[in-house]
Amino acid sequence: MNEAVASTAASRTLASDLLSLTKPRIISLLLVTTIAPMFVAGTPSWLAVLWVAVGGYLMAGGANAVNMYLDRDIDDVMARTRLRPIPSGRMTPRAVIAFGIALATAATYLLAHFVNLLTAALALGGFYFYVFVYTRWLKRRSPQNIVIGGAAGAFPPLVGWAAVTGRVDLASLYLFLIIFYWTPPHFWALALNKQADYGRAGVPMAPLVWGERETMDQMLWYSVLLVAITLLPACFGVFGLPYVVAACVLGALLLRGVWRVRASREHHAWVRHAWWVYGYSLLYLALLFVAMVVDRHL
Amino acid sequence: MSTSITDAMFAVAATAIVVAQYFILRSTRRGMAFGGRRAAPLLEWMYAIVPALALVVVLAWTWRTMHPTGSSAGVTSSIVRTLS
Repeated sequence: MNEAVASTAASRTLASDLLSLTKPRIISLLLVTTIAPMFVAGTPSWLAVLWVAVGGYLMAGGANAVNMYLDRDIDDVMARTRLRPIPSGRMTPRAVIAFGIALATAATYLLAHFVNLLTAALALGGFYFYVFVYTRWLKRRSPQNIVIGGAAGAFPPLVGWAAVTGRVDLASLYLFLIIFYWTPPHFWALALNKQADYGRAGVPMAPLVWGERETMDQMLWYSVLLVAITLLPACFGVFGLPYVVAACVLGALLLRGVWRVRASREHHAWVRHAWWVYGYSLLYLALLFVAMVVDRHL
Repeated sequence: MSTSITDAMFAVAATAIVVAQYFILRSTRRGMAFGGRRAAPLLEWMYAIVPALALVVVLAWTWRTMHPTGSSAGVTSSIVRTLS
């Protein structure tokens, strides 16, 4: 009886660890930015949405697992990653990399077989970009790691768009750019508050290399760029007035938050505002993509 | 939305992009002067400049899509006219 109980508990722990390797909370936003563009591009069948959601989850989950394998040395010294399955000793590095590659392989097959080849290629491109360009090349070398690395997180809208239209065009490129330019202010807001962690791990995040004030300046200008870019798809008829109004209101709130970070002189004040920007930017991106879908179907 | 509104929106957005991009490049240069012993200056410039150049291409493509009958020379002069 006791053996059976222990075995069940171990299975639950393994299942929970495998799930945590995929970073489900982060993927939920990636899925919004994958599925919403499908409804902007056209009227997809529910089966197509299901396959893209499953394939997208598996590909992003695989990338996250491989990332945890490659970053296992620094995960051990950072407080926020110390409890991950590898540094805590609950899983071996070999099992984690095998799991990650298996997920990416399954995702490629599902997307190529049930959706189309372009969708599979774009999803795989995002996987490789995240693993090799961001994690292996940029993350530990450049303070602009998340500027260029942000492209990895910008692949999902291309995946969703290609699943419906079978191509990549100017409108889908704008969805890519929106996430690309959203990434720096979002992650620098986190980096401002986690400098000690990144410093211990030797990751040259912008606040550690450029200083806090310079990073805040860049956050502001990247946010201005982002808000301007969100308006451009409406210029060639992809979206109408409801989307423009939503993009302006959401963008104004983001700019106000980033401005508050930059304008704060007291440490405790900008810490509070930076956390607000970090949280709000997640909501901003989700609501912006929801606004796109609503606008297209009004 | 009417053409005049979308043209004005394009002009405002493009101007904001140019200004923001200028300050990003300026800030990157200042940041490089502060430190970053691991960073290679040429690569750091590349990381800042390549996205800026890509944006110029996307803006030109956008203008062409908004005004499909214009020639390349016409597009350039129209952008200049709109921004000035």
